Amino acid sequence: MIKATGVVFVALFSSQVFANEAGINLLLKMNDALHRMNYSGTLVHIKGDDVNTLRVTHELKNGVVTETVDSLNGDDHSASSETQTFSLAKVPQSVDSMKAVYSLDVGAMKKVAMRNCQVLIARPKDKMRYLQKFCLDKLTGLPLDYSLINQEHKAVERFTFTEVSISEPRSEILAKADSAGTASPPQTVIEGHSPEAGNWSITQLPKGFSFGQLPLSQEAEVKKGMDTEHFMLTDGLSSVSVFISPIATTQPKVASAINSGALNVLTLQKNNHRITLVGEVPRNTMQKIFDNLIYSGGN
Amino acid sequence: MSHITKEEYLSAFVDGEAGSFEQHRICDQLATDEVMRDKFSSFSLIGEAIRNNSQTEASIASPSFLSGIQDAIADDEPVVLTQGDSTVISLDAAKARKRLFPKQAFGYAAAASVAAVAAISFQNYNSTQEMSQQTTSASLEAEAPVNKVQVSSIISSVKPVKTKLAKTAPKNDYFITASFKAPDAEMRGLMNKYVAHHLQYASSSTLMPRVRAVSYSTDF
Repeated sequence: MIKATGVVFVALFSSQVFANEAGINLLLKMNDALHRMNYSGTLVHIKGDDVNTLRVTHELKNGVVTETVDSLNGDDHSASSETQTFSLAKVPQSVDSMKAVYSLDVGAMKKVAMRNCQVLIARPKDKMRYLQKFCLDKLTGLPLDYSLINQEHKAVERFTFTEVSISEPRSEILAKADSAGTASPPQTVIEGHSPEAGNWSITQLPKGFSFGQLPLSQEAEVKKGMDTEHFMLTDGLSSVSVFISPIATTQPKVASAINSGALNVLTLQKNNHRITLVGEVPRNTMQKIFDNLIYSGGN
Repeated sequence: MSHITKEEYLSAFVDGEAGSFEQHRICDQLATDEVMRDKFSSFSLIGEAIRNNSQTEASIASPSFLSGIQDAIADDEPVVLTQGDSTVISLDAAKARKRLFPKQAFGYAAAASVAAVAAISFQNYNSTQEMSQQTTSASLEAEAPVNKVQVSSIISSVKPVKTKLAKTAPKNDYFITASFKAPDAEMRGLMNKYVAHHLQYASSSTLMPRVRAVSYSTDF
């Protein structure tokens, strides 16, 4: 019986390792596809009872990624950006922290937008984050369907392509993009930026979360016009931004909260500072981060 | 208004006419109530007597019939196994032998399940490997430093529309618990700005944050 139990444990462990490794490979492939593939299509974004239809275009040109997201629901809402190509330099760190708090399961094959896709589930090991379910295009790895599911097994948010065309850029374009990425100065990123240097510290981070990287240009943008500190926590799949700014005038202590799909925003006060937390995590996780924020400066 | 007594419920239970809720309730009562147990025995005997039409046999049994059987079982000493006597088996050994089969079966079943899981995982792993080979983009080779991210128009696209928001009722995915208040227009503007920053910078992926940004701007 002991031998059989041993065999069972070894087999279980091996199968979990296989599943995790296969899952990580799929996630890496997904990240790569999101940045390096050319794709355009119609995407439906569902949040509770709200349904938004959007037109998405992503193109790699001259080493620069151009991405445009337009709402097709009548209003003039769009988001577009131009970024240099993505680098996977920070991914290994994310993968390690991710493995501690998610178990990855590779599921069945499905069909989304007339394309075969592989189901991948990142199952949280605690209640501090949402379950994430992907369906990744079999050929390219692009996520064709993505949903975040809460503790009550309800989808808080879902993205799904209804039609999409995907193409791989020509090899010389990819090579150019890679060289442009390598040439970009690494000092533009704040390595594991934390509030330790300032008046604020966190006594204990939620399990699996670590300080994420932010570009310097962003810090300048946040501080523009007001003395606001911004740091970011990530578990590899979800992230929480914490913004801290001093309150000049005496204000009643009002806690505000808004929610949009998986995105939660909390604003609370502590030691004459306004603390705003934004992230795709349950509100309890944010509350825990807030509770563990300690002010060491004078009032 | 009719009043149904315990006895009537018990009678219905004996006759198999009680509902599932009543069955559970009566079972609970039988476990604790001595009087109920006596009545149950009586009712059972009466029922048996009526059904079999055999008054003689039924009258042999008494309400303490079950307790008599239990006493007899308690008095029954287990047979002790003596060395070298293979024909005599102790009660404990017999029980252990009986348990052996379920244990083995459980062991084999567990091992078979694990083997099945392992096989499925291995298949998935292989299929993933196959997928990896199909796309030639060297995702793991790129070890370049993280690149500069330009400030985009996303921030300006998520506008804090103060007057509109003050008049518009919150949408149904917008919730406020007792401890959290609705943000005023000024606070909403600030929150919108922070949301834009978060979606712009605090993600390793690109597509989902931008979709969220557009959806969010349609909400607030």
